[in-house]
Amino acid sequence: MARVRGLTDGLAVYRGWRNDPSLYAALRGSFTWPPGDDRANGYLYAAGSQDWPAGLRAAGPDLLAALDGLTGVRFTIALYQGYRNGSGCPWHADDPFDVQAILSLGVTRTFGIRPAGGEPEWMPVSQGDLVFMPSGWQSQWQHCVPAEDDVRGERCALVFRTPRTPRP
Amino acid sequence: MAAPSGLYTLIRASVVTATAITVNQVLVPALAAAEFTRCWCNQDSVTTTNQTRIQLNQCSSTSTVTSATPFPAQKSMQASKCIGGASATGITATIEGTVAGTWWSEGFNIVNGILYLPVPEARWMLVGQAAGVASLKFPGAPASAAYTTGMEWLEYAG
Repeated sequence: MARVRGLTDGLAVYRGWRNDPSLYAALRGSFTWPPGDDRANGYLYAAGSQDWPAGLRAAGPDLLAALDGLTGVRFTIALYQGYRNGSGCPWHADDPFDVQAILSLGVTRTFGIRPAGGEPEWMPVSQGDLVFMPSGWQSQWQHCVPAEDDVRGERCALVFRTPRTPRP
Repeated sequence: MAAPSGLYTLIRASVVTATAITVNQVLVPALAAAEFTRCWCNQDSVTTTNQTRIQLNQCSSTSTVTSATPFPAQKSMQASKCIGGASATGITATIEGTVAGTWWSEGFNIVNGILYLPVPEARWMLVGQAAGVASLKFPGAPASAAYTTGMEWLEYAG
């Protein structure tokens, strides 16, 4: 695992953090693609209210513990974002949430970051790479996965979050 | 304007929610229109009083949601033109779209719930040559509870 340094405002990329094909298989067993759609997404876990799906009941808690050890953050929400056949998502910041970690599984895709309205920087994200966005990062920066016509196959992102506002 | 082609609902039933997310989204396609007749938010898991807020928004970009198909008021009706999809009609956003304007925003006690039931002349209508996005959203993190939220609209489509 190699950490890419020098990125912006504490953003960190850990190359090959969890390069385990069985994790990708377990995640893919947890959802199906909506008919006629190359995007799929949904929540997998929320502390105290939603348990992991059966296929991730062992791996999910292990990932949370490993992320805690790596980043010092106890994530309380997990979800997936599935992309296939080059589909993507536009520039955005996940405003309702604070810290975010994105584990890429599947085919290599391009990941973009930019200051809101500023010049973008691009990097590849491959199977097992982890992108870590620290507290406050998303209030200044946006990210995206651009649509790419010439990409085939699937990329699934396992996304870990903490809510921005503490729960009452 | 032509008569409506039908009445539809999009319901997100009893889902525990504790973050400020879009809970329902309706993508009204180009050359169709939607007149929103009711929206609601209530919950069935908490008996402790707590204030929260919900909004009916027009968005300039879609949220990424779990695809859901609008339910017609009558069995024989045509399917809604507001087709389900990750970047179309659905529930429970994982990526938030951009709110362009807020048509209705109201605080309420979660023990009581809230119902938006405007008089007919005050109903919000999405109409135009381009597609429009309507969403029901918690603008701030609500108290954790199993919320049921819904949108109901009259659809005008060929």
